[in-house]
Amino acid sequence: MNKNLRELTDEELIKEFQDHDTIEAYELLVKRFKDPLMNYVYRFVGNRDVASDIVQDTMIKFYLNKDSYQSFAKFSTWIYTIAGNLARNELKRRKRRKLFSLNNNDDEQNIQIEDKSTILPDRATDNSLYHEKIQKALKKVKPVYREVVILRDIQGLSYEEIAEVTKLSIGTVKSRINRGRKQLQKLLKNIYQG
Amino acid sequence: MQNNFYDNDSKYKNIIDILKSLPKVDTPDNFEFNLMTRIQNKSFELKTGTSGTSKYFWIFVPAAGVIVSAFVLYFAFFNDNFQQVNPFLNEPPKINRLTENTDYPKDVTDIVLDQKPLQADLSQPLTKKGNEKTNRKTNKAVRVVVKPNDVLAEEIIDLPFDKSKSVDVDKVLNKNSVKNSMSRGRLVGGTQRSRFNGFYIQDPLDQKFLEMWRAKLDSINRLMQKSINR
Repeated sequence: MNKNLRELTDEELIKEFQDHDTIEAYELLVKRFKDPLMNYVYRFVGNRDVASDIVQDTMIKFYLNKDSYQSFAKFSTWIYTIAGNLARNELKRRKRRKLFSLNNNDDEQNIQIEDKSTILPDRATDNSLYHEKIQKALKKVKPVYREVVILRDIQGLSYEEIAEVTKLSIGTVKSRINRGRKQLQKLLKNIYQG
Repeated sequence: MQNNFYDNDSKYKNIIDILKSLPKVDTPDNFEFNLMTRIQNKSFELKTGTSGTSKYFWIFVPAAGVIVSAFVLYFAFFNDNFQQVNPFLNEPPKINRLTENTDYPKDVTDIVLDQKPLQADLSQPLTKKGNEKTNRKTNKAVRVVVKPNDVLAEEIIDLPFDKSKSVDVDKVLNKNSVKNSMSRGRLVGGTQRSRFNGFYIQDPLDQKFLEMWRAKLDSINRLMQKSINR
């Protein structure tokens, strides 16, 4: 049974979960999407713990609202939409909190990048600093542009998929990606020139 | 055409490469365990996003602002309990109120007839000296006469006028004056002085006006004398 489930596509798994409440199908979908979602949400909000909580909430929402998924849509875009909405809400909440908070260093805390490749310590430090700079630059890009740039250039989604996730037209998606990249290019000028 | 305008991946190749080179961030090891525990325990409360309380808090912010503003306006402008009384802005107490329970003269007849000491010099104007007492209730005056044996005696005589015909000099004098809370203080009679209400320049009283009323009083006085002598 498990072997059969592993061979199923995302859409078939969610159908199985919807029709028969098969928890194994749900677990398999969680396994498939937890890391891509984590990467997407982390790049978007810039905090590992918050990102982990958002992904977990996404999976909880998926569990509770499995029937709201309609089979004509791709499961990946549906789950990315849930995660994106939660991430956006979290960013808004943090922005409001920051407005009234005396400590405004919330955004700058703990940019942790986990690099599993085995490289020398000094090289690793260089790399982590380099990645930290990129992440900081990414965080300075406006959220509406940042989201689509991450989905396109980091997650590798197609324009159509991004349009579906963000509920925007393809033209708007392309223009936002373009503007986001332009902002990022300005911010990272020193990095790729040096 | 519009879509192709933004299809310029080659223009931003550097940026795309940089972003693609970023390391993948994975969920913590206990992610699935925690998730399945939450599901088994049915603890479905979301850890992130908009919580119920914060959501409603933001909805009520404008209403709270209006209420606070209303309170501030109420206490600032409408609540008399919080208004500090400025004694300098108070109108001095009215003369008749001040003299209600005192022996100060109340009208012209009193002024004229309550003068002391009782002297027989009736030729002098009454505003300067008086020599008769009057019974306030009956409009009768007491006349002091010197009898042939050099004994002073009092005679009660009827006055030619009563209180209803008498003249209240204060009222007449103040008839045309403008009264308001900012008017400067003035003597209100007897030893009672109005409260200090600022360093205002005091206008001198019109001497002609005073003389006119003094003449009126003198004529009343003369009339009284005539009636007494009759």
